[in-house]
Amino acid sequence: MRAVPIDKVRAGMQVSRAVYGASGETLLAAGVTLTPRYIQRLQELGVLALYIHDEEVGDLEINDVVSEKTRLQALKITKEAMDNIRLNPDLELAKVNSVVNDIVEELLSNKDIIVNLVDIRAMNDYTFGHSVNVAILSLITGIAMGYEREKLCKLGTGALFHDIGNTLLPENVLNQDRPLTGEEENLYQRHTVLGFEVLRKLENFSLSVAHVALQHHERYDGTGYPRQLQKGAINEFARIVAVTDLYDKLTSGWGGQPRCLPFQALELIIANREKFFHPDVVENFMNTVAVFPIGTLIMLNTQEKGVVVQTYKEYPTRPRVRVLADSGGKRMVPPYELDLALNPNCCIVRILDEGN
Amino acid sequence: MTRTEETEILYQVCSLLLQAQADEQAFTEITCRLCSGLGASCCSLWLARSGGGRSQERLAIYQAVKDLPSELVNLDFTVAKQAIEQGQSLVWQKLRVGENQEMLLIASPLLRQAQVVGAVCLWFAPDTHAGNVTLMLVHQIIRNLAQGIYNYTYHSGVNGRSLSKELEMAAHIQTGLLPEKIPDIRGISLAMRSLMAHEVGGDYLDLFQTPNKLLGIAVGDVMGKGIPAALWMAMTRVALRTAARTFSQPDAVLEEVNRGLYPDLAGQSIFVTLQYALYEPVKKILFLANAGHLPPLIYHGRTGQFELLKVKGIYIGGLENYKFKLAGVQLKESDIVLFYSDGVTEAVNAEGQQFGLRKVVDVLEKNALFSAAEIADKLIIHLGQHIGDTRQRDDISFLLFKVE
Ligand SMILES: [Fe+2]
Repeated sequence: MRAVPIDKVRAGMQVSRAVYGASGETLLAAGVTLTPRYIQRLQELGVLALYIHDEEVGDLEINDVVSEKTRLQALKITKEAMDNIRLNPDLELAKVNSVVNDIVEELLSNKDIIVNLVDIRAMNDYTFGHSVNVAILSLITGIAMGYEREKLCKLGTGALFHDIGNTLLPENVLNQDRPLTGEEENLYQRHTVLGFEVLRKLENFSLSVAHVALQHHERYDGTGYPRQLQKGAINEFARIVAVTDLYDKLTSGWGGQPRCLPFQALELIIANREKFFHPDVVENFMNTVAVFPIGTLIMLNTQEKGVVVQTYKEYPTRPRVRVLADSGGKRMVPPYELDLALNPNCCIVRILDEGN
Repeated sequence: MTRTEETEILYQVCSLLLQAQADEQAFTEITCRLCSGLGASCCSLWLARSGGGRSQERLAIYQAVKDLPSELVNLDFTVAKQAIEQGQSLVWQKLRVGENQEMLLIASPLLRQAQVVGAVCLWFAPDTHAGNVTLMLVHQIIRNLAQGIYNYTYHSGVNGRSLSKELEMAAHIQTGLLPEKIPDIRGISLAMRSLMAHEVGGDYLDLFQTPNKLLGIAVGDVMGKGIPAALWMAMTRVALRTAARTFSQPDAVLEEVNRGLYPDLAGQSIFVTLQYALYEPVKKILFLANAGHLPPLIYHGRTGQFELLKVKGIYIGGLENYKFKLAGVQLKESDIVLFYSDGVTEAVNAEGQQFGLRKVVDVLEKNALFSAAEIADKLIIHLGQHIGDTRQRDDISFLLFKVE
């Protein structure tokens, strides 16, 4: 199994992980063989990449940090809430709280949480998939920062609805794959204030949670919006969401940008510590995502080719690798695995294109 | 097993190997014959590589029995590695493989003239009794295999490397030159990496703890490749290590090295660039003297600024009794110091563009929160991404430490 970007997917390939839509409906089940029609439909839906069965690579065990069931439930509730917010500003808080609780409990029961899943959500449903992802990434960061359950639930809710103001913006501002014009940009930036206004009016909704929507585009150095807040003046949940929001946008190819590999997105975030981001948050965030996620095709310094099969929190650049081809390119049958953490003389020299 | 059977296997195996150029198919054939001849369930053959650190490559594997536990191939890698690294045979009567299976394992290095050229692993069903006969037979076969593998590397040039005997020797000198152990110095993380482009390069990195408990770092480059370069490197290393025991100031150390090597170098058209630095971990001060080598790069993690610590000085063997200069710099927490060879900045991509210093700084900046080992791994990957499928022209080696 390996992740293949949608433009490199061909008919005849077999899907090895199901693809879901915004309400959690199955768009394509695992095991289905792709046809040109399916591929076209997936492209129309804006699906970014698929997990494809690959005999040479073999089976990979990718455990998501939260169960599929919870993730889909979160997706559904977020979508419902956002769809309804215009008509009926009474958010069904009980449902939201319960799903945020589920995520928190699942994350807390996991010992070494590290995010390994390559993003395969559909772009048309971007907002919801993005919201759930940002919530999960923020919560893992919160756990790393030593947050207690109560604080985590607030952080999770704030992260889930950080972009709720987007639902109140005109369509054409959101779905552009070109840079926005000055006027559009001004309009877009309003989503922070709009979101805050909606959330703070809700009954039983904590004000600090609403502030996530208002402040998630503020920057550590005071160059953000809407209020140019600085450093410690920025709401602590919003500081976390600022990081996870950008990470998820970069790795999913938001706004028509080319998709970044996880290690590239991570490097960008580290490079912007103390500029855009609070350094403490960056330090806690950087260990929550796999630098080279499971399924990454790599070349070793021995010129052997392989695939990442396991990642370690303590050794982010030294995963366990299944060697698929020898230095001459000859296929290794059967492949053997080696831990780069235990083999200091071996190292990754290149990330190979997902399509090769 | 009878005497005749033994000779039969040995004969079969040897005849395969004596074909002037044993190839990959022949190795698969050998593992297959060994399994059937010795009644093993699985057999694998490994090649030890020299140059660029000790590593190994699997030449062949044969599984005579179906449904062997899937962990076996991974364990096979590990035991072959042990045999190659320790240079000693390993015999496990009952090695746990998979959930509830035990197997008998014999892993042996293949030695040729006291050098490890590879390893062979033999896996038997748990009830097999490895009697003395089998062990002796394995021993004899191994002697022949070692010659076969040597012939293979010698003739076929694995990785397109043609290993002439002399170059192989020089590569051996060079790998022996890398420090065996990275000294444990308080308050810093430290890493070094090298990607060798040729059998023998001229890059030289060394680090050690001095008698007064400071960290000594030496980096150098011998202009000119091949055997003389490797030998000059070896001599430089010895000269520097000796001088560093007697003299404590880096400038004095380089002067001593120059004094010792000048008479021999001056007559030849060989240049040795050399840089010697001392790090004092309590006051966090880096002292440095330089004989024509690239200046180290210092990235200040707190401010995001970087600087090159330039100290002028002529190369070793340039002028008799040359007086070297001494420089010092106060380091702070989260500063990163990088010593590197020109192979790093001059690594060329398909379009002929060099990697350049700016990109090196970028990599440090983008990874500044990680420890030295991760930063080093990332620098290697960025270089690898840059080089792509182009042939790496020069050795790439660097050493970096970070004040934690
Ligand atoms: Fe936003």
